[in-house]
Amino acid sequence: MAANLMKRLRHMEFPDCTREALQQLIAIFNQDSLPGQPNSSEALALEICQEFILFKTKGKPQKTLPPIEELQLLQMLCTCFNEAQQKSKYQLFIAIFGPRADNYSSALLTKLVSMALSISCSSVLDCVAIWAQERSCGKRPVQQLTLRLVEDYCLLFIEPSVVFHKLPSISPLFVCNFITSVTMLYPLHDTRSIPPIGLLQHVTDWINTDCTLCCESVRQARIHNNYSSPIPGLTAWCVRGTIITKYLQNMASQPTSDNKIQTIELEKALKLTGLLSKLHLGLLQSLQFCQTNINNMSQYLITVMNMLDIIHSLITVCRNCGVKPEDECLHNSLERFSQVIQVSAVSGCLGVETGKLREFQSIVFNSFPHNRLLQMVLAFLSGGQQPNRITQQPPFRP
Amino acid sequence: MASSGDNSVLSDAEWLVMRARGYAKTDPWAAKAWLITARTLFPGSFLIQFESYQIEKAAKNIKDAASHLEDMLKNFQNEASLWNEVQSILGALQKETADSQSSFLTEIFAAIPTHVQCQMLLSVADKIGDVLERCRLLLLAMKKFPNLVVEHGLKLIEMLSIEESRARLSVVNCYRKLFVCDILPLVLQKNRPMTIPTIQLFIWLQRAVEFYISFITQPNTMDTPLSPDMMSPTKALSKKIINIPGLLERESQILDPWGNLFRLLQLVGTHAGWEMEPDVFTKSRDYQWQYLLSLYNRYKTGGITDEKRKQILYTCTILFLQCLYSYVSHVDADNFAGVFSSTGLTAPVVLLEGFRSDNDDTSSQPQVKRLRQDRSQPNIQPSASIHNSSNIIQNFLTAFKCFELLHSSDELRREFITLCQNWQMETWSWMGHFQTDMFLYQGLHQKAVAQIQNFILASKEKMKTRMSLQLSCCFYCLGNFSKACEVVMDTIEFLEMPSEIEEVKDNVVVSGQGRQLLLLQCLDNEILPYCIQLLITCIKEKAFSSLSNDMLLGHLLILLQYDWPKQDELFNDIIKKIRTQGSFTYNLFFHYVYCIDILEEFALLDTQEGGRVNLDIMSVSTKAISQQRTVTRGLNKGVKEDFRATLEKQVQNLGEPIPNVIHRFLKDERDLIIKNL
Repeated sequence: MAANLMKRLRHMEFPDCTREALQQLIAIFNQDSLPGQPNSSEALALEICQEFILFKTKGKPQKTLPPIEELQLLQMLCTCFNEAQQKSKYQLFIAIFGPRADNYSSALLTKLVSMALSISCSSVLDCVAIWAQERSCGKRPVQQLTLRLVEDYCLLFIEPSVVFHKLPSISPLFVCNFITSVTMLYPLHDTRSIPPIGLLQHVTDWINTDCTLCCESVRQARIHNNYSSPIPGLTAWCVRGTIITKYLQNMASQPTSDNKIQTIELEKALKLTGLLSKLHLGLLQSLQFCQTNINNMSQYLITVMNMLDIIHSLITVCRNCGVKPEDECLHNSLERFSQVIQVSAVSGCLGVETGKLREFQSIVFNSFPHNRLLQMVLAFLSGGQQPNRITQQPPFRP
Repeated sequence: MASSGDNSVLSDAEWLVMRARGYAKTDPWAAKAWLITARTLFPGSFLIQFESYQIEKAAKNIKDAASHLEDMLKNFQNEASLWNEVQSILGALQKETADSQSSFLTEIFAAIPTHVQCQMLLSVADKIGDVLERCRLLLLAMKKFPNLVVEHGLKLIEMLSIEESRARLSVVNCYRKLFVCDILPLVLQKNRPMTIPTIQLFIWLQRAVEFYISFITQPNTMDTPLSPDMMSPTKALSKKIINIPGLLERESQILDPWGNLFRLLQLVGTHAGWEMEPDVFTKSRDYQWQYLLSLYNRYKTGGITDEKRKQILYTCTILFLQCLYSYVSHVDADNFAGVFSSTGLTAPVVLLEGFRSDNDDTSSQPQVKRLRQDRSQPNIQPSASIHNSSNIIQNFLTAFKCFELLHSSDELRREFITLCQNWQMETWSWMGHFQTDMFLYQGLHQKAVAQIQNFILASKEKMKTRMSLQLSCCFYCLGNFSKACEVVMDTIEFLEMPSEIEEVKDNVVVSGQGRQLLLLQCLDNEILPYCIQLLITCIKEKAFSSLSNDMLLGHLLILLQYDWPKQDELFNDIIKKIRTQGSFTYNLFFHYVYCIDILEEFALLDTQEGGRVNLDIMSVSTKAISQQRTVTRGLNKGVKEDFRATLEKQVQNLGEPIPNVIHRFLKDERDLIIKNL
């Protein structure tokens, strides 16, 4: 049965072989998997994928398709994903891209994602998102894909990409994971890991326009058994970014020989500062949204462990940038951090591991100057009281 | 801005607000971020909520501002600054010209869910002490939320009526206006019929009629100086600035008071369970009258109940008032025309008795007797200068018929009189004009005389002329010719004479069956022919009776020149009479007679063929001359030659226009004329 199929396929030329292969794959996945023969159909599927989609026949060298045929292949894949049943989409995807990635399949994946982006194929993008979640956004394959996308869509052209602009309406899950991924790709530890302005612009716009994006993955965690959260990464951007951008501004303000470059640098720094402020607001609003959606969320978006990581990294950044305790940017940074902590706590997104809060508090106390807001927030957290709307405060008498 | 240490006098909440405010101009996102955080730390803090609202307002984010406002209204009922804000929003809603600020506030209001809007309006209205303000707000609320009308409408009406009686104002006051024009229609529309007791309905209706009539008949007072574009006649009538004290200018405007009143009548009728035809008051007068009559007859045959009588009473009365007003605004335009009835006429119209042409004179009875017998519907002939005469006449007749209908049964009359008393109709001076005309129309001249004499002393100019005319007309109809001529000559004295004998277009002498009335405009060139004709007719009566004398004939001759040769029949009669008499003495002849035809005729009279009439018409009586001269031969010949010469000279002598001659005659010989009558 399987052998016949393979033989038949081998007789065909591209594109017929691939088309037929895809149909067969769909047929396989559409069947409810019987406990009796899971392995065999899986194995068959894998084999078909290897040979007729990736064109990796055992013993033969990798066949590379000419560009036009490759394009055809990609189109066929997209169509196939669109038409497949919901439950089969990801199975198919994994069958193709699941096994250990090599250069070819990575490249193909990148191209597939590009095509999906340009034709707004949400099926493919959703599958990619789930794949990223499963792999973990920080791991190499995801990071590589992310880097390629950033290069193509944020760095290549100056104007903002229209494709990116409408991405949240095509696949919010993809955007969610993408954001998570870029925060790891450009961690803003120092001046060399600053995200490109175009990218930052997109992320800011996304979050400000659609406050549901950040929790998209967590909301579907029960369906996919895995999830990712961009909140820690974005928080880190806002916190560390405050210091770094200030540092950049200072650098750009120092007298140098080349005025033109200096102006450009200063402009860049100012733009970054503005974007970060807007991003911070979007972050808070996204957290606020979760308060109304708390029942759908099975996981925390940010934990105290994340907070610890961030605070530690902040110490390093401050040291590297020569920040003094009385510097305004330090307090701004701490205040931003406080705001995120407070709103996430009130919205029920903050996971508090035992004992970690005290650890956090002692680091703050030991390593940072007193900041009124941070103190207020920590007191609130320790108090443990849930927000009670009826609490009256003394009226303000000017 | 330092963020730690100083400012420790501020509470945490205050400090958060201060931090947020600090970013409001430089970094609005940061400001918002601070406030979001602040709200989570102090959810019960009004200060923070209000600050959030302010910041959204400043950033023109309507939806966000509205949602903050809604939250605050729910949670902070007692905060003064919140209510101040609500007041300003409601104030913006009521403003007529929307500037950017008020339209923005209006948008915020619109973005709040409707039940919250309703709440806002009601709670603020509750707190307001000033009745007028409260009324305005409740009116706004009721217009936006019709379901409030049933609960609040009646209370509001009561509140207004108490306030009005407490303030003891004249009828056209702010409370009454709001009640009649704004609230009452709303209450009647939104309540189900038969739920309000009819007594109440009728009291309301009476007050409404009183208001509208008083409003419509307000004298024209222009408080603002006329701008150039207002000087044009059409515009002057439409720019009557009406200001009801207490109300804004736009609230004082009532664009269609009659329409409003009729619609109100309709609503009241629906509530009282009347059968009514819906658009009766938009149809022609004829139709309206027929409708009313058919209603009356229908009820009469079925037996008039109290309810049905009320319907007749009110429908008829309001129709009567409208016809009356339309008619009177053509009579006394200066005082009563204005925004609501532009007449397009420059002088008041006047109703007068016409003169019968002698052709119809089949019976030999004197004209006076004939008038007394002829009580069937007189015909009204309008002057051609009155372009909407059919309207005017129809209004008059309809008003008259309505008045008669209202007096057709004891009960109706009693109820109508009660209404009149309630409205203090005796203070309505315009009724007086109608009553005069009504008496005239009915031929009740004595009553008309009494009525006119009541009013004439206080009247001036055009109205005085009008009344004098009617007075002299009535005296004439009553047979009191000397009084009639006396009054009419007084009138003529003040008229302007035309520069030449114009072709008198209208005939004041009308032919036809029955009594003929005239509707003229009180323009000099229209009245004058009438006056002359009146004089001629009065003098004629006596001149051809047994009490005739030559003076009268002479006067007639002079007057006939006015519209010569129109009345040549009469002239022929006069000449015949003179010929029959054989002699004629009138020494004023050459002072006033210039018409060639007349002179020729008299020349003829003097001759053999003419009849050799003995004419003593020189300025100095021939008798006197004959006494002067010594008796010589050829005495008469000298006289005769004088006569011829004078005749010829007279022909060439016509210096002034004939009307002026007549004017002079009437002025100078007034006493003489009266003595002879």
